Amino acid sequence: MADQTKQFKQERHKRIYDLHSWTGVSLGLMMFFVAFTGCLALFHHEIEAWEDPARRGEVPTQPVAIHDTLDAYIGEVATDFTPNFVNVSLPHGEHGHYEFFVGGPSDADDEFVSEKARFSATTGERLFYREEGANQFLYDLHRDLAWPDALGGRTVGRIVVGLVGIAFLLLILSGIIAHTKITRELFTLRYLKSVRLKWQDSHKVLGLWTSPFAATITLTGAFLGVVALLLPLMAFVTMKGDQEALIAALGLGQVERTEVSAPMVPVDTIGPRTHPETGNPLAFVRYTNWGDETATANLSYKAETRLLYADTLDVSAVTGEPIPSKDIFLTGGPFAYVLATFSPLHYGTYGGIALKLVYLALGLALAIMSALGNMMWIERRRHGGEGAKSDRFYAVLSAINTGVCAGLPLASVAVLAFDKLWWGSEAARYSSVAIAFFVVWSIGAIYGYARGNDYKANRELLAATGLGFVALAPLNWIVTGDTMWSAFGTGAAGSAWFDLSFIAVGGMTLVLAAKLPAERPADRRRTKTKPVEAMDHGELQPAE
Amino acid sequence: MNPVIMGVLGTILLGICYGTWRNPRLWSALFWSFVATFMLSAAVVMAFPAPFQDKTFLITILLPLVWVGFQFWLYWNPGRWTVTIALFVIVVLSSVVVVLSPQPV
Repeated sequence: MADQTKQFKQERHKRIYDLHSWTGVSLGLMMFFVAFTGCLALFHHEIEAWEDPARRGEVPTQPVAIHDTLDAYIGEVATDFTPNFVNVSLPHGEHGHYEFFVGGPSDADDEFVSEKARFSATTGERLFYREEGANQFLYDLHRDLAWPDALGGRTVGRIVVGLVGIAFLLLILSGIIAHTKITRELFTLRYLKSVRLKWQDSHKVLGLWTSPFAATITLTGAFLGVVALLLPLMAFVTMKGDQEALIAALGLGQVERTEVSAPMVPVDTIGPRTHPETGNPLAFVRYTNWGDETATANLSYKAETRLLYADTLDVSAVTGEPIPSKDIFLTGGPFAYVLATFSPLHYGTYGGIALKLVYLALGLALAIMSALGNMMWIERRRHGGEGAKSDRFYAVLSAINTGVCAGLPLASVAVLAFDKLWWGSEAARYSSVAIAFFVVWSIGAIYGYARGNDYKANRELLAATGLGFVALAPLNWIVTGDTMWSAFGTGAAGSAWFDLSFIAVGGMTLVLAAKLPAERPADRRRTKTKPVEAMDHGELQPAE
Repeated sequence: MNPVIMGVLGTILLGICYGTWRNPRLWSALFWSFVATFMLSAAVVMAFPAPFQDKTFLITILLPLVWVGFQFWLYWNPGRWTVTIALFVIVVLSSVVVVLSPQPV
């Protein structure tokens, strides 16, 4: 009876272990990609000053009044569409200027169209508008894989990322349950015995120590992704296919324009300039139904130290009087508030730069753990007596894994440099950055395969990434004229911090590349060739 | 619906059914756990007497966990077909609840 129970438990463990192993191997590269790009996405706002010299100016203490300029701009651009949405980014933090976004349905075919412009906060004159580049592209890669419109648009990409989040959740759960001696494994790192044990222990230690963070990130990420898939399905089922009815039932409906025109309260004076409770400055104003008697304005204040993406106030855009908040996440009860916390929890926006650095370390640990999982799986088959395919097959897998994983950071650095040097039109900036990214990444992957030695390929790609990081700083100085030593203490300090960080990260990457072995180290313990079943059992009881 | 689309969807469904017959755990983890999750969610939202907004937000939070829970259950349970059949039952019962319940407002 006891033997039967033991066998039953072992079989269950094997199933859970297989689930963990095969899910990880199938989606390991994708998880590495999402985790690594997530690390970059953490600094999406902070890096804007480094990327765009126009964001480096000092924020004037008394910005010039801009409402007349806004009014004239809307009159100029909204000739063939209704300006339902008018967003104004006010000078604050990294934004030393005004930024306008005007959008609405086209008069011709109801398609959503929009226009954007940038104006000086000191003179009110129109500034050059720099289109989104490498920073936005890297951010989009994490959010929706920058999925092309031709293949269904960003929603599809978002769903794919969300599904990876679901798989990641499954991996965390199965990973924790597959390892029965968690307390021992938390503190076991055998670096000198064999390659396999080194990677295995590193994978377990990283996985177990970061599991609370990983669970938070994957749950919130899965939600942010799959909600795009599940909401339409919920509408289809609960509202018999009527998505508009679902939107209305959730309180997300928008008030229709009455087409009775009314003057708007100027953006320069609308609402309090600082949040009544937090004292944070007003950063963003969003007018809805601009120019109509039903117009409202949503005022966003930074909420960097609270578990919210932004503090908001709603006012009538006609009278300026406060109106009940339309933010369902703030007014929809406790569950809605929990949902509102998902985005700041995912991107670590609630604890300043220190928290983002902690997120960066944990996120990199997740990425490394994903790569290690793949490496372990291949190592067991090449040097551990597992697997039914030829050594050549696993060698190719290993080379691809190395090239893809080590090529991704290189491609990310390369597009930051490419964007800095971009010489073409603004309209083509984003697409050119995307092409450059995939070209460099493909070269990295091909190099990993063609090099014939994964260890050397990894070292060399890492070294190239390190050099690229170090080179970003002088490139920035040459292109923009803002040297690091002159920028600290001025409006360009944000950019200078990135220069310094790039040099530090590049230096550390170069040191790491130099320390990594150029060949597979010889195992110090005798290699055992076991039957597959016995090996599986051994992996389930890994503490030796 | 366009007959071509119906044909494609029908073929995919047949493929999934065949896949389920050959490997119920894998295909239930890939597909039937998802169907059971959103049908169960919809049934709960429609059947329970609470404000629609509250129910939807709560279910939205729980949904990824329920989905992963089903997937995990498939591999935890020793029976090759047990959980797959349970998922089918959940889908059928949830569908009945959805069809019989009035549209929420």
